Amino acid sequence: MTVSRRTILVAMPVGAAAAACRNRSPKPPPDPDAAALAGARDTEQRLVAAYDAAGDTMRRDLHAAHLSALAGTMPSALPALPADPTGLVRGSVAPLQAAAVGARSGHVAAVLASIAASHLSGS
Amino acid sequence: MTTVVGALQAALAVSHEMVYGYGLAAAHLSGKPYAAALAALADTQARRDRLAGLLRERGQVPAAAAPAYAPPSPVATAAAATALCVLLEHAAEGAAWDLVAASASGDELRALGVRWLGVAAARAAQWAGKAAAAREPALPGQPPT
Repeated sequence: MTVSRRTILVAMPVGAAAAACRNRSPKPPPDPDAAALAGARDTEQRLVAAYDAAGDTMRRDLHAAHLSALAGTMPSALPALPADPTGLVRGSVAPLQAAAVGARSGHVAAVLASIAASHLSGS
Repeated sequence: MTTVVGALQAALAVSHEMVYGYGLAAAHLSGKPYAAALAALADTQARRDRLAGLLRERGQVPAAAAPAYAPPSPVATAAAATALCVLLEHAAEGAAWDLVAASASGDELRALGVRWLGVAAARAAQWAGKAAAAREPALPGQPPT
């Protein structure tokens, strides 16, 4: 079998394209809201842990629902418990609202604003 | 997906209902609840006018209020008036959520929606009372899935 240079030149792009797909798979762009979401998840994890430790199931469930809306779960290692969970709830309102205003995704913004609203209402 | 103009018109429509509803509720309230209803009414009227202005700025005609609105159940007592106020704020929460979701990052509308959602949730909890506030949704304004 004679392999001409032309054949090689024709064949190579297919293989090269396949290799490019394997070796340089396009990375998804970084989520512009990742930092805001991570901050909100951290707060909710600490609140879930705090109310769980206090035996306040109503508030624990509320913040667990917030954590779930943020696509978060409880870490295997318990986060540091806040000394004043109520203060953490109140203090989180302004940062959550600011994060909602700045969020790139409308859905993320609405979730952050809603959690802020829930914290503000003191429920 | 709701457009910005669609969310603004929906928020304006809810504001029209709230102005009517708070007027109706206030007529059956007295004392602190009466004062709270009047404060909410004034706040809602200001927001209604702001929303209408934002629509005009976008070349849109703001939807007019209906001459009257039928409450979901008769309002003849203070308890019924208070229950109506809870419903009004829940409607506001939904409209504010949609406004936040439809608006752009950093936009004035986004900030307006975020503030409104907070105010509506706080008022809904106040009207619901301490015992019932625990039954308020975990995510105020979230559309049903």
